[in-house]
Formats: sequence, structure tokens, C-alpha cells
Amino acid sequence: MYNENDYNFWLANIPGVGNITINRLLDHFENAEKIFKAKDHEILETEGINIKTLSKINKSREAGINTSKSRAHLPSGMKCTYKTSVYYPKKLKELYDAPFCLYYKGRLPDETVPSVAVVGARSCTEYGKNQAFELSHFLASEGVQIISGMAAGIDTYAHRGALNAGGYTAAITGSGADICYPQINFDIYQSMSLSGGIISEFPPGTTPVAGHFPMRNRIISALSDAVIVIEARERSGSLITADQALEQGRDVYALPGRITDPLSRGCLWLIEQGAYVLSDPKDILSSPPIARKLSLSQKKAPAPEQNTPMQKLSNTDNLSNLSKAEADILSRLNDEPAGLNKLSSLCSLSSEEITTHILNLCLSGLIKEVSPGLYVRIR
Amino acid sequence: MYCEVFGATVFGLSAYPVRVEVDAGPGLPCFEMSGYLNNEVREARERVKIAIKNSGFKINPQRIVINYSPADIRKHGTGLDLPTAIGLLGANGFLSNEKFEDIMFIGELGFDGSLRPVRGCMACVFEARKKNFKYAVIPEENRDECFYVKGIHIISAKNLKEITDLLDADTFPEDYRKNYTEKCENNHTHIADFFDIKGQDSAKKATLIAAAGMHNIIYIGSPGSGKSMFAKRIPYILPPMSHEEKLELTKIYSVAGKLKKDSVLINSRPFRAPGQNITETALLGGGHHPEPGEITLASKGVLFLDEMTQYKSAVLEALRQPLEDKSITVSRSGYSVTYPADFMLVAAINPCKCGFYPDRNRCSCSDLDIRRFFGKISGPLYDRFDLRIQTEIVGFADMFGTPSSVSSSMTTKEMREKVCASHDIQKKRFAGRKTSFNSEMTEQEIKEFCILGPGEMSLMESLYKKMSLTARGCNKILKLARTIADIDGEEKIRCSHISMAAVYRNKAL
Repeated sequence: MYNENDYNFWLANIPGVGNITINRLLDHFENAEKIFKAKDHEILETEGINIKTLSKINKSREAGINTSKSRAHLPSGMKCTYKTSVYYPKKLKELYDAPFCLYYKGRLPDETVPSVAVVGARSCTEYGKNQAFELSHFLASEGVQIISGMAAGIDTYAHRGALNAGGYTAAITGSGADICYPQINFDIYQSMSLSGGIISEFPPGTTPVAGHFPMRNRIISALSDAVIVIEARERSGSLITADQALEQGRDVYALPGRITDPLSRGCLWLIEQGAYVLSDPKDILSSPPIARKLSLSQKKAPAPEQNTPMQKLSNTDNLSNLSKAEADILSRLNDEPAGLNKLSSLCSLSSEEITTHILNLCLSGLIKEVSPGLYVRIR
Repeated sequence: MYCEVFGATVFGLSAYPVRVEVDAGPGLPCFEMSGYLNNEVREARERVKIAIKNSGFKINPQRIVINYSPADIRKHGTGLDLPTAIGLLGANGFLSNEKFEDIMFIGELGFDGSLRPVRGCMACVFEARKKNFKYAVIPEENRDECFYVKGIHIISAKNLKEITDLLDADTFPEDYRKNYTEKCENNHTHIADFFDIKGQDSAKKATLIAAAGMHNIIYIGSPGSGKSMFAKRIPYILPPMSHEEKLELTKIYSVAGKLKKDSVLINSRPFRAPGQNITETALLGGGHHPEPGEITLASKGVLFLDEMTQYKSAVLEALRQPLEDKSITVSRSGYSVTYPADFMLVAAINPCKCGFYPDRNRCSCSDLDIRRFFGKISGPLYDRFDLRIQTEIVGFADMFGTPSSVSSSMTTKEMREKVCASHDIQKKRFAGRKTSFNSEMTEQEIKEFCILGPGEMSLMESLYKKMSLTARGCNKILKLARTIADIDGEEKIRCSHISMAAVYRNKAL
């Protein structure tokens, strides 16, 4: 005989029947077993179900449930939850095309704790990386869960910031949750599957396909209470996330940038459209949905660990010890990588002087080399 | 009748004497050749027969058998035409003298009997001297390269008839060098000057350091930022070559058939810039008949790889061994040759695929794209570049305005003087050792010549800890610092030298 899991598995895998149809059927029948056992006319009574869909369902019902498949174990460390389960995120249920089945590694975000999505461009500037890291680090240390997409660029740094603060962070992937994409992020993939979550609506083994990525954006925004866009070009996946966040009634924050910067176009457009301007991370903590949850969920994430790489505390100490030339170099450096030649001509220093000062600044952790011979300031 | 004549065949950068044994006599008319011959040697048959006929000799139909000894060494090259012809004439009794055991004949024959130049003539004459031949007969067009082979009587000739006449004569003519004025390759008529490069003081300083210690250097920069400009100017700041170096280089170019006409010795340091489609064999040397590759041709000079990421990665990786050993051993099933490969590697790459990173207005390459782009250059190969330099697009003021207060742009002449001075210091330092430049120092020599004071030691310590250096990385920085101190003419390595070395070497990709 079939068990509940078998029915769920069957419903999730009817060829040609997608999440929207499943959600309509569930609205009518409550659970998968009832759908399986329903008469044809009952199914047709469901809103938006036609003969064509019925024939697909019937075909699959006649074939029976492949119990060997439905009872097969998921790859090690992986779990799944169906929409009918109590563990399924309530925020996600509100979606009209909520995924019927959610696969994940680690654990799902805690819904009593506020969550914030931090998203942005894959090809980003040093400024964007820094902001993503710092922001997530700050929010995570205040007990906020960070949701993002594990893509290269901003997403990666958002996860890193949260992990570094010892907070919870979850990645919604466009591939199966057992696949690390991009591979270069294997380290954060590992730590998130242990202390955070890797979540996907795609069954294990699904390879990353371009079309999957915009789809997972709706889950990113649905799982969070607010969405922060760090850097985005004019036409960007991050704007899709922001769009969906608005549809889902989430607050959208955009990090302002310079108007000449192509990577600020997306954020500036969002601001034009009425998104909140992110000028102080504390604003997010005081926004109603997050502040409410924060006060309810008394527990905070563990205190930030000592290994803050940015050396924030020591920075102010070091600044006073700087020589005049070093202070000059520092004042001319920002998040935009600058080369030795440029710096030496800006500061009117010889190549001997500039190298000595640059090395000093590097060693005191005030600047760093991002690419051979190119330096940015660390804030 | 039987006749024996000596020729030579080139192998690697040296030559083997070849004994050409000709037997001509009655029998069914034929022309047989034996002795492990390459095709071009075998084809001598027609060239020799017709050249002899057109030089005024008549050889009757007869059975001709020629053996080239030692018979187990593959014979290459057209230089064996002349000894074959002389042997054939001797065997037919056209020459009054029949003993030529102290003469080495080198030259290719044309149908009209004229003597044509051959590759590697210099190597053959060197070998002749080594094997105690008294005379060498060479084509006139090869006489420039043989000018400096001392201790052997060299006769140059225009055609076969000239040689037979002089063999018949009682006394040989004087060495051609008696009344021959040395011709020299023109010194650089057009010198590409560093003064042309505006701004970019740091990159210039780095180039100076690279040339001073023969360190490998890689330029990273956007298109149009002057990477190739820097590279092309490097040979001009290197000090002039010594006579021995010139001789060695001339020999290499002679074997490769790449000597320019009208010059006795190669005078200027080579600058080789092979194209991106180069094969491993063309770069390292080898082939059916071993020939020196680009790295050997770049000996004592610069091998420039422009757009280094465009080269096949197998080709690039193959550079690692010669960069360490300063020589390349090419091993094939039939042979194994060692060529010198004592070159300075200069490479240029873009900072990313589109070439404009970090200018985000123009570049949309993600971190991954950049990593993938650099990924074509392996870590170990990248590690062999002691200097990794960013060239930058200069501002308008630097381009057209008056040079700013600090950037009193260095000229090639000034840079060359500094490089020469530091080469002299290194020559003194490494006198009697295998090492000749700071970049080649062994661990032992680093300990001996890179002595650090307490302040320098603590700087190295913090570098080691904070920049996660390896032991090798440390040594490379010390070598570089030694060169920088040499340029400043200082015996002691100071903190500023180490700082500069660390910044110019900077982190791995």
C-alpha cells in the first residue's frame, strides 16, 4: 500500500503538471492522497483544471506510483519537505507558484527569526563586495538570517559575511542542492550545508541551467522579510528578485551608488521606483517586520567571532601612526583598484617611496591587493 | 679508383666530421650512396654530377659507390655536396693530389658548379679545428661567420673549379682573413627609447630591475597601456655581449640558418617574439632533424610572449624546465641534443578577457571570468616571474604635458648605464661560480650574499607571516632585493629594497 510520502512523490512528479496546477489541486483537496483517490469529476471541479490536465493526471495514476523511486533515499545529508508538511516554510506557501517540494541541505531558515535577502551582480566592484560582506556581517551578528543565491560576486560575499559573523545563512540554488555551483564556492557551500542551508526546488542531480536562476529568485525574496540589492546593472537578475519582492509585499532596499557607475544603474532605478535607500544598515533592523521578529525572538545569533578579517578595531589605531605620505596614499585610495604608477604620480612619490609605503599599508591591513599591482582600501 | 675526402654534418650545435669514401670503377653504370643519409644528402647525386660536368670535367659511365662514414650517424644538410664532388673527381684521377686528409670541405653545389652557403658552417669549422684539420674549404658566402674561428687555415671559394685549381697547385692560398676587413653588424640604427614611454615610473623601475638581474618579468595591463613598448625596449638596456657570448650566439644562428648577411658576429642581443600559434617543437627545438627552437635563439636576450594566455598551455608549461636549467635537452627516439636556453622571459597579458578590468565602465568580467582567464597560466609558471607589473593607461597630462616634478622620465641611455653597472657588480660577485646573475643564485649563495640586518630581518618576518609566503617566495624576494640594492650601488640590502621587491613581486594570481 502507498504511504503519505509515496503520494507526495507522485504528485510532485506528474509529467506536465507544474507547481501552479499542484497548488490549485491542493487548495481543493488538501493533500496528495485525496488527489490520487479523487474521481474524475471531482478533479474537474477544481478551478483552472481542464480535461487535458486531467488526462495527464489519469495517465500517471494508471501507471501507479513507483514506490522504489519514492522510497529511495536522497543523497546523504539531503532532506526534502512537501508543501503539505508543517516544516514547509509558511512564507513560501503564500506564493501562487510555490514549489510543491523543497530539497535542502542543512536546515531551513527559522521563520520566527527575521531574514534578509542580500543580492546583486555577479561581476561587481570591490565596493560592492565590501558592502555585501560588511552588511551581512553586521546583520548576521544582530541575529538576522541572510538569504542569497550563492552566485559569484555579491551573493558569495553576502554568504561569507554572514558565515564570518557566525550567523545563519541560506543559499537558494538554481541547481540541485547537492551540486555546488559555481564550484569555486565550494568552501561556503560546505559550511552552509553544515551551519546554514542549501535550498533548492530542483531535485538532486539537476544541473545548473540558465532558466533556473530567475525561478529561484522568487524563493529568495519569499523566504526573506526584506530584500537588499547591492549592485545591479540596468537589466539584471537582481531586479527580478526586487520585483518579486514587491509583489510579495517585502521591503526592498537599494544601495546607492554613483550615477556614472554602470553597476549602480539598477539600484538607482530601484530608488527612483520607490525602494528604500540603504544609507545605514541599522535602518533595516528598525523596519517593522524585522524589528517585531527581532524583539519576539529574544535569542540572538552567537556573538561575532574574533576573526573579523577587516580588522575594524585596529584600523583606527593604525591611522594615527601613519606617516604623512601614507595618509596621503590612503586618502587617494578607495574601492576602485588603483595601480602603483597612478598612485605615485598622484602623490608625487618616487617609485622607491611608493613601494615602501604601499607595503607598510598592506602589512598594517589598511589596503589590499586585489589583482597583481592593483590596490584598494579596506574599510 | 678510390678516394677519401672529409666533410662534416651538423648535429645539435656541434658537428661531426664525415669521411666520404668514393669508389669508381668498371661495372654496370650506377651511382650508389650509403651511410644513413637524409634525403637532401642523397639528392647530392644529381647536383654533384651536373656540377662536375658544368665545371669542365667529363666522367665516363662507370660504377660509382660512395660511403659516408661513420655509417651509424644520420647525415644531414647539403654541406656534403662538396666533399662528394671532390671525392668523385679524385677517384677519377682528375686531381693530381689524392690525399686530402687534413682538409675539411664544406659547401653545397649548384648545377653551374658554384659553391653555395650552408647552415652551421661555423660549427663545422669549429669541429675541424678541434679534430686538428689544417685547412677548411668553405663557400664564400659563409666566410663572415667563420671569421673568429682561430687556429685553422680557412679558404673560401666561389665555385668547384676554383677549388680543383687550388688543390692542383703546389701551395695553398693564404687564409682569406689576411686581407679581409671585419664587417660588423650595424649597431642599432634605430634605438627604441624608454623616454618614449611617458609616466609609468614604477613599471620603468621594474623593467630596470628585471634587466639588471636578468629576472623574468610579466606585464599586466589593458590594451594600449604599453606592455609591448616596454618589452621591445629591454634588449637596448642590456649591456653589450662579451666576445664569447657573441660567438656562441653566432654559432646558434648559423646552425639555425638565421644569420643575416654581411655581419661577422651577431652584435645585438636577440629579441624573439614568436607568434601565439607556435608549437612546442618550434619553441623548444627538435624536429626530425634537430634544430634549435625559439628559446635557444633568444639566448643572451629576450623571449617575449605577447598575450601569453593565447599560447597553448602545453607550450607554456614546457618553458618551466628550460627556465630553471638555462638549457633544454630535446630527446627523441633517434637522438638527444642539448641546446643552451639562457634567456630572459618577458610576457604580457591583459588583466581580463575584455582587457579593461578594473574599469567597470568597460569591463563586465566576473571574478570567475578573470580567474578563468588567468587560469591558463599555471601557478608554477607564474611563480617564475620575479616581477609582476601593472601597466596603466597614462593620463593626458603625462602624455602631452611637461613631465611632472618626480617623473623625470628615464632614458634608455641612463637605464643602460645602471644595468651595466649592476651587471659588473654581479660579475665580480659571482666570479668563478656557475651563477652569473642574481636571479640564478642558489640557496647557498642567497645566504652568502643577501645578509640582512635586524630591521630587515623583522620586515621579512612580518612579510612571511602576513603575506603567507613560501620559502621559495622568500628567496625570490631576497634575490630581487639584492638586484635592487645593486642598482643603488649598495652592499647592504635595506628595508626599502625588500619593500620594493615584495611589492613588485606581489601575490600570486
